[in-house]
Amino acid sequence: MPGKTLDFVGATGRAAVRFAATVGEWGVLMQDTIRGLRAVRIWGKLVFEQMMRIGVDSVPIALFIAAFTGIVLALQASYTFTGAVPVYLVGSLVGKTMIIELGPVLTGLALAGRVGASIAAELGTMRVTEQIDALETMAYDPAAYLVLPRVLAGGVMFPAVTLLASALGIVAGWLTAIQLLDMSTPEFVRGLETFFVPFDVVFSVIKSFSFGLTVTSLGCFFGFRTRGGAAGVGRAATSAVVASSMVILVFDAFWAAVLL
Amino acid sequence: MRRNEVWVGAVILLSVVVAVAGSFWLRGYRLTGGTTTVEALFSGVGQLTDGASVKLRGVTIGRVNGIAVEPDGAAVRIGLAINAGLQLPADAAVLIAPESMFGDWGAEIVSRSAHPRLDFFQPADPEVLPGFAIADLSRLTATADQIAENLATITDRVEVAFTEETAANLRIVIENVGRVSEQVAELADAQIGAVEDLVENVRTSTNEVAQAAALATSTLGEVERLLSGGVVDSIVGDTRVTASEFRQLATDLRETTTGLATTLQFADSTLVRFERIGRELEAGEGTLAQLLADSTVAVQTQSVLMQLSLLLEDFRENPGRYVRLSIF
Repeated sequence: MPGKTLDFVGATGRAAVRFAATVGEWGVLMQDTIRGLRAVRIWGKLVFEQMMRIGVDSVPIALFIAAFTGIVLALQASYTFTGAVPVYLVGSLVGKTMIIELGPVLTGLALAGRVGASIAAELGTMRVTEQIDALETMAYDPAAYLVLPRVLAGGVMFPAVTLLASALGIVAGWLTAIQLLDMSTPEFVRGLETFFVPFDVVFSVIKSFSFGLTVTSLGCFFGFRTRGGAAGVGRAATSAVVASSMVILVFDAFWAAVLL
Repeated sequence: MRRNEVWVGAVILLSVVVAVAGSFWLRGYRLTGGTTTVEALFSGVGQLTDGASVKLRGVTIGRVNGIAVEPDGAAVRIGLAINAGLQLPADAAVLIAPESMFGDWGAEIVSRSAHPRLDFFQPADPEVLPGFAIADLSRLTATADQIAENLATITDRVEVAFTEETAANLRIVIENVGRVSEQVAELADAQIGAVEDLVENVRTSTNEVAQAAALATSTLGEVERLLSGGVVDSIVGDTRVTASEFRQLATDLRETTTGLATTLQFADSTLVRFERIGRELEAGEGTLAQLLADSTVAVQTQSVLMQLSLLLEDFRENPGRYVRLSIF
């Protein structure tokens, strides 16, 4: 029994050390990435391509999720707001929720699955096929060449996609309210206006920017440390998605506590 | 320009336009029509936030644009961005109040004379509108809570003060009050008889007064008759004569009184003398005292008087013995 206890304590310690080492490796990669900012000629021509892949190509899935989220919000709000609660608060709920919470978080989670997994798989494949080693051999900075364009693209495009998704979610909620619910456009707009403050948009941009950096940097990190061939690539993709999703939720709570 | 760059630029620009335009639209800014800003001062603005609606006669005409505490901390100045060209009431004031139970507040431009009981904050600058914030439900609820707490405190104190002893004392007091009430009732019954007597007496007195009034009336009639008959004039003449006689009598009496005073002074001096003679008699001084004090003197005197009497008789009988008449 004491031996099992010691094994458990030892396993916990090893996990903690491994977690700390992982965080440290991620920190080292980010340090190299920041250092790579000076190599504009390397990453400058790659950023738009990554923006296209990370941002523009992700717009459909983000809008799809946001549209149905807006519809569900309007329906559930009208289902909940019965009796004493005025119906115009459906607009408030849809607008506020889409802008400050569901828009950034759902978009971040969706892109974590799509973008994070894609980056981890791509870079993991490059790692196991020793393409990254080849870059280093050719004196290319892999952080500046592979990580920095993706992280920058994620930081820029995540807020853009999130804003579009939030707007479409609100529009979907409005259409739902006037078509499926007994509401008028002025009522819905009144609800939207009543509790809207411009900082909500700023808050959404800050959150989605942090989500973009998180998803892309973790995708790059897990791709860079891929080991073991195709199976390792799969594990890297999975780890990137899981870690990105967890960090997104942690950041979500963090920003809510700090900024609201 | 590469296709990727166009797409990326389009997505970014679209998202920025959506965010900025949507924010302005939700804050109530419209491209159509200009706005003008008026200011109002309040002692407090409750939960009013920037961007809250501004209404005139129930119609939204603008948004709250700026909320700031005055530098001296005595008031809150808010800006109202309202549609340009609107004619506000001559005595315009701003009323802010909750628009619902969910914390959304709004401002409404009203005529101050329509709300005479509201204590609007009065700004020194005539260009700034006076403002008043109506208490929201939460503040009223807080006040109600405070009242409830006070009531609870009072109840506790009453509970502490109202002991068994207090109840017993109260019972005694109630019994005493009952007895006092009975006594008061008895006294009232007794007083009712007295009051009835008093009423009877008053009635009798009233009748007597009425009779006296009738008598007075007849007397006054008689007096009037006498006055009209000239009898009074003769009475007045007689009275004048009588008064003159009384005046003479008074003069005589005054003179008599003066003589009487002299007589009294003389009597006083006489009495003083008599007193002095008395004292001398008592002291045995003087001839009379000796006469009174010594009986032999009296005897001798008596014998002298007897001899004188005999002498007088002899003189009457024999005057020639004692008197000799010669003419020549």
